[in-house]
Amino acid sequence: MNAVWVLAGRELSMQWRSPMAWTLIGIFSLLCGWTFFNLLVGYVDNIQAIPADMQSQISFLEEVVLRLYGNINFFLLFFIPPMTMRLLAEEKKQGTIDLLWAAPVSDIQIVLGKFLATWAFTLVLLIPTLLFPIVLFWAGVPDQKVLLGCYLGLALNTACYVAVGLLASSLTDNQVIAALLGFMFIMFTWLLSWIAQGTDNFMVAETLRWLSVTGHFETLVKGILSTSDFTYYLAFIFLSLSASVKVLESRNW
Amino acid sequence: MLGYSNHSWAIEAKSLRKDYPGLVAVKELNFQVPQGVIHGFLGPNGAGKSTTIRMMSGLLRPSSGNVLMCGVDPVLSPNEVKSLVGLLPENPPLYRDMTVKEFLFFTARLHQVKNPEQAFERVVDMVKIQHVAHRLIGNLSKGYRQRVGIAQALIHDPRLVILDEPTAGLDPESVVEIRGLIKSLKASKTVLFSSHLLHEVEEVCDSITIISQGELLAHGTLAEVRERFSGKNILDVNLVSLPSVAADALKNLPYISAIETTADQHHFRLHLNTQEDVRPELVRAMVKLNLDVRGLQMTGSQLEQVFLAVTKHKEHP
Repeated sequence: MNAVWVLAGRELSMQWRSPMAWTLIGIFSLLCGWTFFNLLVGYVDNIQAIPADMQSQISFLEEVVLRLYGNINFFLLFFIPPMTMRLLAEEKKQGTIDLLWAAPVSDIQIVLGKFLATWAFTLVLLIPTLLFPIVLFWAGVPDQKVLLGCYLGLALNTACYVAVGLLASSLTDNQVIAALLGFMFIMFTWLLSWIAQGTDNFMVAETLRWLSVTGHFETLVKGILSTSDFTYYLAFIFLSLSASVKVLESRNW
Repeated sequence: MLGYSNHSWAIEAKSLRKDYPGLVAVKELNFQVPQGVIHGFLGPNGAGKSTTIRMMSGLLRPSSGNVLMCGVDPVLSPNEVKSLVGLLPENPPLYRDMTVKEFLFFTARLHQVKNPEQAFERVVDMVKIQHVAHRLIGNLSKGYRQRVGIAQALIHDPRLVILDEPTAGLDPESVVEIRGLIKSLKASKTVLFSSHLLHEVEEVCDSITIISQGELLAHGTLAEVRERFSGKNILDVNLVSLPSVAADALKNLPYISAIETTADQHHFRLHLNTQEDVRPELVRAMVKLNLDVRGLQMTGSQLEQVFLAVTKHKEHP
């Protein structure tokens, strides 16, 4: 396990010093802030546009909170692949993967170290968004369970996206291709939920929804914590990381 | 077989083979390298040197056969082999965004070195990079980057060091310094050294292995390989003249197999069928034959000639 922390430490310090990572965090924060502001303004406009006795029918939770965190989850689709694209692709391109392979470090440790560091760093993306719950509490509309579910969902989704981004990066030594592959893999998990919405067959629809990351996220943001969702997330991360390890091992095939 | 009495091999390849789809990169290699020598690993481009080196270092698994590093199989005990072997691949694996110190501390921790500070001090002193320890690797010259690459290979104090083309692309001054460094390693380690520069191999190595198209072509001490593939030594003789009677008399000497004339009428090449130094005896014989000797030089067979002969024979049998 020691090697995992050594590798994670190196990866974190590299991300910390990367201007691109901080630029992405800056743009992401601005985008989320702008979205929050627009949702609030839209909500106030809607409230003012309808008679007072009907105002209670417009839910602040659904119109602002859930839509905000749904949008943040959507933004991650574009921001995670650029943060994961270089993880293994660059090591292969530069030949530095030989340094890791020549040390008493297993492929599992390499993948775990990179995953944990990148997941930790991508969680930094979410730190500026903590301002929104503070504003919501201050405005007197707190729903602790929902907000906790939103952040738990975002953290777990981030872990899934980092895991498939890492898998994409293991498949090529070209960072641009790795980013595109990562985007496509994440997009695929979204597509499953969209296909499920257009399917009449109940069993097929439910299976597709269960396989989709967004389906589980939607459950979490409602404040519902279920074993099924946690099992899904763990299985998703485990399978993606195992596939990355297999790709590294394929040098011996 | 190498002419060493020490049979505790640093490297022992037994029917080592690596197959890729549609290509046999390494074919049944069998050779041994004793402890405490500098061993040259030669072959033309695409000969299978890097693949063999990667199998020795535990980076790649053989398709069949095995290679024991200090008696340990990299497939069965990869971590043990990785702590015994220090590797400098052809392209030094360096993180350019790190300083030399950060990088060497990182590699020391990867190798679970108990005292990284002490290991760092030892290797920077050994490869003479103290004054660049706080500089970014990306800003160093190629020569210094190569030294940092060697330092990372030595950080865990391995018993066996594998250097793949360590002087490729360096300026002459750096080449001389790195050769000196490699020679100094011999005191405490076994070194496997791959190079395209044959005069360098002759200068640095005690023994060599030549492979081509994945097959072993020659293996042994430099003298053994030269003897095996040339069979003879050559003496360049400069005489005022060589009358036919005297030439016949020389041909009858037991250690001379042939006399070759050259474009220069005073220059003759005597092919010897012995590795012994027969010059004093020959001079006495020539004086007896009233030949005026102006010069006598043992040329032997240069490694380059042996290498070309061996690899050409392989490519065009």
